[in-house]
Amino acid sequence: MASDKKQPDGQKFALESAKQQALWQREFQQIVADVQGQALGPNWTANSSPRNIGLPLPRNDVLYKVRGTARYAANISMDGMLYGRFVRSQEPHARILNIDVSAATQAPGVHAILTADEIPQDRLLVGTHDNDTPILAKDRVRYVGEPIVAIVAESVEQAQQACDLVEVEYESLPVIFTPEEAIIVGAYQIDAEAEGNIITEHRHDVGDVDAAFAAADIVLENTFTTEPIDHCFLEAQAGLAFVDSGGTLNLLVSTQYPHFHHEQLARVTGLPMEKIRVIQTVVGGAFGGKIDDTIECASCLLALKTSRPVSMTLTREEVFIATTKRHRLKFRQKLAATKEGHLTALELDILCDGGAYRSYSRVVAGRCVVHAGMPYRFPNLRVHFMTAFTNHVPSGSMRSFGVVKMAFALESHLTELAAKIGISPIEIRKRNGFVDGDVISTGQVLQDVGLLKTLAEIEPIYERRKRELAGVHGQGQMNPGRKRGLGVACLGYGIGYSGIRNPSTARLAVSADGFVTAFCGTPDIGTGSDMALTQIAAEALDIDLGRLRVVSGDSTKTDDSGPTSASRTTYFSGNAVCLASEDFKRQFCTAVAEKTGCLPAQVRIDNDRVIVQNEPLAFEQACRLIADDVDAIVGYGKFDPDIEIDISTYQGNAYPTYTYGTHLVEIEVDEELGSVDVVRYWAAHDGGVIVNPIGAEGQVEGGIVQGLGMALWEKIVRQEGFIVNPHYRDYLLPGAMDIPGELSVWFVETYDRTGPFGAKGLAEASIIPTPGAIAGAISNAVGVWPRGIPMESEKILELMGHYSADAAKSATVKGQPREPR
Amino acid sequence: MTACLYTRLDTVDDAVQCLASAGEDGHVIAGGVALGILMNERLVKPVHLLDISRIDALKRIEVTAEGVLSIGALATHQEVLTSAAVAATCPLLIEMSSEIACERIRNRGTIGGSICLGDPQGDPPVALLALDAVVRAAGPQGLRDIPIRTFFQDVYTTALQSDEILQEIRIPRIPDGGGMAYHKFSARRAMDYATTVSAAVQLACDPDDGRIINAGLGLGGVGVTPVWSKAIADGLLNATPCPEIFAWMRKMVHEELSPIGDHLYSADYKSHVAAVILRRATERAYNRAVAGSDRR
Repeated sequence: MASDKKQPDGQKFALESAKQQALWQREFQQIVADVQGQALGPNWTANSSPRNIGLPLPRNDVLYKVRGTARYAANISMDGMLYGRFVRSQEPHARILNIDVSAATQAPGVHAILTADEIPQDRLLVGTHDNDTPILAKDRVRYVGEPIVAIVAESVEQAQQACDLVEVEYESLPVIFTPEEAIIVGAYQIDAEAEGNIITEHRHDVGDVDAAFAAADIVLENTFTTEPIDHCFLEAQAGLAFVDSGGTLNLLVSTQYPHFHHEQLARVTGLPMEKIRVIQTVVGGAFGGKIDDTIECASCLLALKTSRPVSMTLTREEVFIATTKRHRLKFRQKLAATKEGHLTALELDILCDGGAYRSYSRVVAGRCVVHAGMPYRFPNLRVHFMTAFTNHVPSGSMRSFGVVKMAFALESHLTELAAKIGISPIEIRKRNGFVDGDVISTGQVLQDVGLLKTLAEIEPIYERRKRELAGVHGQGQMNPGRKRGLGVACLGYGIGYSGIRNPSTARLAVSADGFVTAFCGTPDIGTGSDMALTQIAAEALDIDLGRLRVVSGDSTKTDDSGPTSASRTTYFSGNAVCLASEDFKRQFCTAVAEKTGCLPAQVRIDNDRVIVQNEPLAFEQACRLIADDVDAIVGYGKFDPDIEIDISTYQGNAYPTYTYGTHLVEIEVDEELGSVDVVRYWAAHDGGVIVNPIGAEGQVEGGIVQGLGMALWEKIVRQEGFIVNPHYRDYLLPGAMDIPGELSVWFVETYDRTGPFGAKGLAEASIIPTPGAIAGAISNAVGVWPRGIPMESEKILELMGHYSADAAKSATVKGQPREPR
Repeated sequence: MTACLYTRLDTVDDAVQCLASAGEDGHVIAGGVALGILMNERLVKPVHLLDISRIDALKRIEVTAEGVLSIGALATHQEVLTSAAVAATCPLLIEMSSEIACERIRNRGTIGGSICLGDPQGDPPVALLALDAVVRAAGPQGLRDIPIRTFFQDVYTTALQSDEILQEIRIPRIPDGGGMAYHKFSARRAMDYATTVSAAVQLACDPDDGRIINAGLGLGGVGVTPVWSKAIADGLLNATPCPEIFAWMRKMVHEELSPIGDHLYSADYKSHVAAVILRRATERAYNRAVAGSDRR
């Protein structure tokens, strides 16, 4: 029977022993004290108010992460633990005629083999938004890599060896690899429910687009394409499932959304909700890729079947071939403007490869429709967005849910328009960018818009570098054959789910020794959100940071508050923490008042002290005073802004608030090879009031680098449904050497009146402008417009006309070279 | 993972003997950089691993009395990169080694392993082709010298017999007045392997009229093996760098090479890149040669 290793709450199994954790916590508290003592940062002084918001604190997880002592899911082991592996489909679309596991059953070390036949039909299908994805394929496989059989053995190697012995007999079915083929009348229907293979289709029409195009001075129209890419988190999906001595099924797992797994497991296993516990382990990156079921249900079913702990970790190759990708899309964009540079209309027709199951396709579509044209005023707008099934690995959610791809096209056209009418790329954005009071396409009125502030921050740098580069190019100081260019792009991004209510909750509890725990529904997925919530809670309660601990990512200790995605956590959970703090203070002060025999109104918390009738008590003193009642105090907060869109008209409040930014990039193109070096990068963001500047800066830098990879190199390449580059050696992810030598990030700090202490969301959106900015810079340098990402050197060279397959061969000189003079 | 027999060898003689008795089952492992990947992916399942990595005699880097630079097969890329003997006689190898992956991999990978793998995208073979190196193999019949220009025969296939072990690489003395250069193209700057094209050029010029009097070159990533082109090397003789010679080289690159298109680049683009970087390497090597002869 599994030994249920006791772990203190809230440390996410981050460290092996309680002793290590105590050491780490002491060390971290010292760092907090040091930072507070040094009063770092431009916005913070020892006496400043707020005291904790804007404090440049190192994140509380970095110590154990950089030292390599953090325990990720794959590092956790238990007595008697078994290891699971999957047998995966080798066919893009086929009927399963037979699965022969007889040889695998006999293989050394094998404890159990699971196939779909053992799972009742009503428990077989899982999914975040639609239960359409089988835990293990039954009767039919829809993509190469789909799991068919799961095997547990005493070692990973034995489990894999047994998997290799399983023989699956297939009968091939017609395959569909593009959405264009999928929507043809008479195409094989991949999903029983989806007529015409359409996963989702949206139309949004505002104003009179046709009239606007007819009246326009300038019309730009192009087709843009993007390739599927991988999230490339360093830690693959991993988890450990076991049944504890109390009969509760535990799953320790690297995820963005423990409550989702909890709910699915209840249905899939038939266990009551209270007999399940899902705990998020330290997450080594997620970016939207740890929000679907991969190993979770299979490992739990196997743990129940064997009564042993079961550990499953995907290999990197499996992550590439069998987990969700960013959608591949192709779209036509048509934009109208006046000769003064005012945008008048935008038309988008988008077709997406959704892959074999639904995953987050609908969410991606909904967000893209609402974000069409953002962050600019388009009085007339028409969007048609369609996602179709194909026999590819499912497309799912990834950082910005598709908005980065739309921005690539929109920002390209904006810059092109500026060049056509002879104004700067900054100026065109100033003329059309959102300001307070603007009405977006859903009818929502915007407030606390910092877009122009971010443009104002970037403009002087743009003008200076433009002058300097003109000088450099003019005086022949550049290496021959190399050209520099500048590119600008903006972003506007809604915080939270698109057009539906998505509340977040928090609970605050206190112990008799004066420590406060914040139980927050949305987990930290490596972004540092626990740190931000700690700071918000300390500020809201007006107590020392060192007293606070955030517990997130435990499905039994927190309410389901949705996943950590869509830039939600700082804003939604931060607001929930603020609301919980008010509730907490009320209860706390009442308890203290009762003990001290005064009125609750005569008690307040101030600067880590409790003031009772003007007599200050240390916070822990007050806690000791109410030691008997301390457990009864639970501050509760639920933040649930009024968000609703009527999907038939696309009218309503899409998001409670929006984050904005402007990026500027300087690149250098090798004119002979078409290759692009990113030399300098500047980013200005409006993320509201910044809770933790160190964390925020790191997140924006990460977004830029991820965007850079997407812009220049990254692509999943498929042939007949097989991914041909499922390794880091041939999937080109940017490395440390590819990061621009100068990379500067600023925050313009708009106070968001709806945010916790004025904060908005921030991190996710920082990827959005990067590809569009780089496209603009390429055009600025060498005068061509790449319309597809990645913008590979070969494509750029072709566009430049310096090279084509035929020209390359014919550019020859007859005969032998002449003799030297 | 299937078990395999493992033998650690301490001398070249033992290794040759052991390899002979292991026959077709024998797999020599040194740094394990390439073989490790192949075994992890189960593309190679060795029956008998012969570990030669502890044979100290194969780690020497020295210049012989005749001026030949001798590099033991087990010298790591990092050892080549930091060797004073190499720096003094053959800076091309320094320039080339600095382009190999990262320091961690350079610390494991050996120059001999890289050559025996015969990877068309490997760095050392390209430089050694330009240098007209000789590969010395040890087998049951004793030592055998193989010109590197005949060493790479087909996809991952070399002239080394199955009972032979690569002992050392011998680089003939570089004539005075020479210049050399290594140029590598990759999509990223970060340790790229996926699609690289590389060119190495070694040449000497007449100190009086600047004519090229000796030329060697190697190209990587443009075919099934690392490539040496006699035609292009010969064509450079008696020439000086000028647009006409480069146009001719470009034509020759397109005619002589058969790069393989892959998921990143077309074959034509690779030929184009090869022509550009071969020209750049030639220019750089020539400028260095001229600068060298000026100093004299």
